[in-house]
Amino acid sequence: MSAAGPLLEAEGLTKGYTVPTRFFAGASRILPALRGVSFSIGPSETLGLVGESGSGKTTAGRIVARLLSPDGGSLRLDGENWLALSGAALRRRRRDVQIVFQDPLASLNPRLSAGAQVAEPLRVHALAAKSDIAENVRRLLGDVGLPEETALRFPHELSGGQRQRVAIARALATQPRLVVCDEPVSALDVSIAAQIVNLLLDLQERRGVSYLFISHDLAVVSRVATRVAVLYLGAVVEEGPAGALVARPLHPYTAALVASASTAPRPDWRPKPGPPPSPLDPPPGCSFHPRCPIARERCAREAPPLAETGSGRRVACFYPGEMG
Amino acid sequence: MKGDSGAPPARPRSPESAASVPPPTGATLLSVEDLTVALPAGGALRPAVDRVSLAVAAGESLALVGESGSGKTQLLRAIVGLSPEGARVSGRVRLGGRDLRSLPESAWGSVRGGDIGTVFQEPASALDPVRTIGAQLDEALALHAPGGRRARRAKAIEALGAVSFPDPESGLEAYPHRLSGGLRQRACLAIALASGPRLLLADEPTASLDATVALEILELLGRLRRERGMAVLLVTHDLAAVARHADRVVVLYAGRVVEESRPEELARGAAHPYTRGLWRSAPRLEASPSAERRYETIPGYLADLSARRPGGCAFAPRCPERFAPCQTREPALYAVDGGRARCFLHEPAAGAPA
Repeated sequence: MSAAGPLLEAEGLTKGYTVPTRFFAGASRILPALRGVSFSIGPSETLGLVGESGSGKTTAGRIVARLLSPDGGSLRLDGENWLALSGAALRRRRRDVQIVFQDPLASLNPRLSAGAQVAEPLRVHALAAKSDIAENVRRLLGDVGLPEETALRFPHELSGGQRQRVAIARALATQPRLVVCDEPVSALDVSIAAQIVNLLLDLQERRGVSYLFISHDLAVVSRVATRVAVLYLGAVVEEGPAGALVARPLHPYTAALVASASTAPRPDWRPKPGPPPSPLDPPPGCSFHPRCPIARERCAREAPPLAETGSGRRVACFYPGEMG
Repeated sequence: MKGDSGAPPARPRSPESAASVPPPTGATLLSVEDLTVALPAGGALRPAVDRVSLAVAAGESLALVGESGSGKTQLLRAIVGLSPEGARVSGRVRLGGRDLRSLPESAWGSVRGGDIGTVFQEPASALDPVRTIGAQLDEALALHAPGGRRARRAKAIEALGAVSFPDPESGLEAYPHRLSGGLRQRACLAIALASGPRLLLADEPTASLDATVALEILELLGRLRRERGMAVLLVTHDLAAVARHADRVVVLYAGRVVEESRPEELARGAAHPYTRGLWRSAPRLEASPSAERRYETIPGYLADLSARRPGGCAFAPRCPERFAPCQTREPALYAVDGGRARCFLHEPAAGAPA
């Protein structure tokens, strides 16, 4: 492990999807899912990536897990060019970065028992001798709070929370340095989601694993993450320590998310009514300006850069912290 | 109680007043009394909704809170007479004095999409994908509003405007897939409101929406409720939404009403250990984030319908505060500050149900 440097460093990631345009067969446009996204994750740290649909958060997670290739930008894992790896070299290093998805029923193999799901990465990466696999599986299931007999059960026989625990055990089997958690609790009931969040925190404490925790729910993200990056239409609009970002949001969009997630019935700050813009057509200038109540003329013309504001915070707004 | 899984589920198992508690203000619009919906599970009929009584006043917003398996969806379906095949339903449902349970199917047309409007979690599945929003709105309006096509078109534009649909005129020409989730939900709301319902059943109406959009939809619901004096029965697991958008709360667990309360009591500390646990484990932003990032959780999970055993409190296996009586008999709903709770912690000293 390298000394103090970040475990993962993403720099200027861009990614566009080709989408067919309406009615004309063959015609297509590029949907810019990521428009130059940078972030870093330290060892044993959790970066929360929060954003609504179309923000690019899932695309970012898949690029980090090397399930998708970006169009531009760089990605370094432990200082090494993570995007340059391919073939056998990539397969070997995949054990360092694992991913947990929102819907374990879709991500688990329905025909494999829970034990076989967890054993698979151990075999693929030759991480345990054949005779040790059963013992390893038992220990991994125990680590995620599942009794031994769960190994024999199939995904459809398990509850949603148990299935997500199996998915987490499978992700941990390779002893990864980083786990991308893509909306890992969004499909679960409130009381079960809380159990899974606690489990992820426990595992981090015990194993020192880092998380890229992706969610639409700022309340969950701010609880799990040490730092939070807020994505809006494919760009980071604010980044900072979780507590400070929630207590005093600097970007008007972050303030809107805070208002939406808060239980207090108080006169909240919120975006102007109206539909969010289409990711196909990000507005010019600051992409939030059509919904922003403090937007001025400049915001429609010029895109504010993501700038340091001190205390480890960055914000892309010409008038940070002005929405009260 | 072990051998009673095959017995008619309507038979009261605990002595309890079947009468619904009248809502504190206004005339009762919807009253549900002793409603049981038994579904086939594990070779027997088992109550997914179990002797539920509740009432909604005209213009009131009642939140029905529960997790998967709580019976909240079956309860809603039973209210509009759409319980699944093979279900055995008993109890009473009245809307403005009209007995809905004895309504012949032919008479439901004036109730569903008439007096009662519905919106669901996933607006994409509630809309017809091959017809424009205008055509679907027109269909709803034609059922309830007299007048020709031209008059209905004006009404349709007005209906989309009422739900803050931007550019209602071109909205009429749009197909559902061209709209964002928030706009689709607005379209569903416009259709549900076309008949001028007295009661809106909203089943997780914001669960599939982005946070800032969800807030807009809930506030829109609140505004429409005030403007039209329409009552709303809001089914949700989102306690943040409850705290801000409901007048009263009913909490369901394993098909039973376990607590009736007011939103402000939830924050102050609910009376039932389940509601308290739910509140603590709910993700929400703290004014001052604590150093402890872990949630206080409810251990375990709710057993499947087929694995539930009658007798005792259904929450007892997960309850941090259970004591001897919880295992053997079921608590009644006892009076607490701001409502009632089905928990022996609140049993009056004399032992008589409140």
